[in-house]
Amino acid sequence: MSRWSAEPLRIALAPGEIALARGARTHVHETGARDALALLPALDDLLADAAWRTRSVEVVLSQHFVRHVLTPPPGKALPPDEERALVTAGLREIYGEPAQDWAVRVHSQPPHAGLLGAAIDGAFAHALDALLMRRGFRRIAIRPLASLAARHAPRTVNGWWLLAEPGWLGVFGGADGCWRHVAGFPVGEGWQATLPDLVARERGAAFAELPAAVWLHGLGVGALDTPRDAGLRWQTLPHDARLRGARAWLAL
Amino acid sequence: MARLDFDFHTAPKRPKASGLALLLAGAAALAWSAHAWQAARDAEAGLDLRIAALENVRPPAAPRPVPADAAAQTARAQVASQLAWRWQPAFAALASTRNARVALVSLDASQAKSQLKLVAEARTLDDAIAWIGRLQQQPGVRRAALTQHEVRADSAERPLRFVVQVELAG
Repeated sequence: MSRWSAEPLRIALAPGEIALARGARTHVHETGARDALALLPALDDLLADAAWRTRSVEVVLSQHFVRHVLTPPPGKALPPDEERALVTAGLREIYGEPAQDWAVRVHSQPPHAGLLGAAIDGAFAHALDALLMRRGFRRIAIRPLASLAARHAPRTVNGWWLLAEPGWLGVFGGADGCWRHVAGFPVGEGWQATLPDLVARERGAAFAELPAAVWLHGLGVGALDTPRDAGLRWQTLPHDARLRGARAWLAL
Repeated sequence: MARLDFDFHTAPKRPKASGLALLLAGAAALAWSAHAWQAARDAEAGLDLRIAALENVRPPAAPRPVPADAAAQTARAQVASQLAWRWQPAFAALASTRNARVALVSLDASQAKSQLKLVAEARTLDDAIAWIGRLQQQPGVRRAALTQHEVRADSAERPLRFVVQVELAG
């Protein structure tokens, strides 16, 4: 197939895992590297295969490699550079000085809601971009898993959206068309059993009370049992329980 | 609720057709401006050079004539002027007024003043005045005036010697 074929390549990067898909062809490479930057040499080797050569590529990043923050409401519309500065300041407050070098993106919201930010390591973002350019890709997108998964979540989240991947749980709370709460943390074996307590804790930490609805979205974590909780309405979003790990993200 | 769409790709995105058109238009405008600016600079430089040249070039100093040269030039001009002077009208006027009662004794011509100084003798003053009157009427004569007269007592016929100043016509 010509390298100029329009069929895009999707790459999923997760700790210890690189998954690639283009058309009907998929490949999963397991590695001992768990750090994002450490995955890139293996990715570079994989992309040497002519089967992956195309102009368009989308990289899906595990939420392990992404940090989110929700700033206080700015109270007025801000220009993009001020929005970015506000998000960076919020990240520094939580993660300290290393956040200064992170690559930051902002999800704008109305002034009465805070800005939702996402960040990845700046050196990793730069190296990944350079690698993809060097491999001949011209249309490039690098998105966190949450961006892709949100396409399959309820259009308006009035309540809680839990995004589960192997070893990580992302928590997003929304109301009135805005994101009101965000959190993320590693989880271990038996994480499903702790979900009601986790959500209760996050509800207590939220600045405002959010609707008592929860959507559980599992991607690559196998089968999910819908928790039972007297105070919350739980729903489990459709997922393919047969797919494990980053392979599950290729078909999103 | 707006979709979460974080994209960490930092390379410039492919320009759209409209963006490309704007870019080309901008580049063309920039090129035109640069060309116009360069042309203006060239014109300015050219004018500066011309101004500098005009300021630097003095009209060549006319050689100051040395006195000897000036005298020679004046003499040459005089000679040339004398050679070019047409005396024939004056001679014709004198020939037309010739008669037996007046005798022309001498003629002194001044080309520079277009004048003749005539010395003549007549039997009487009336003959002299009549002759001067006829001379006055000649085409080449502007004015003829009796400036001096005397009776020559040393001559047996006692003629009247007189002097006439004649101004010739241009």
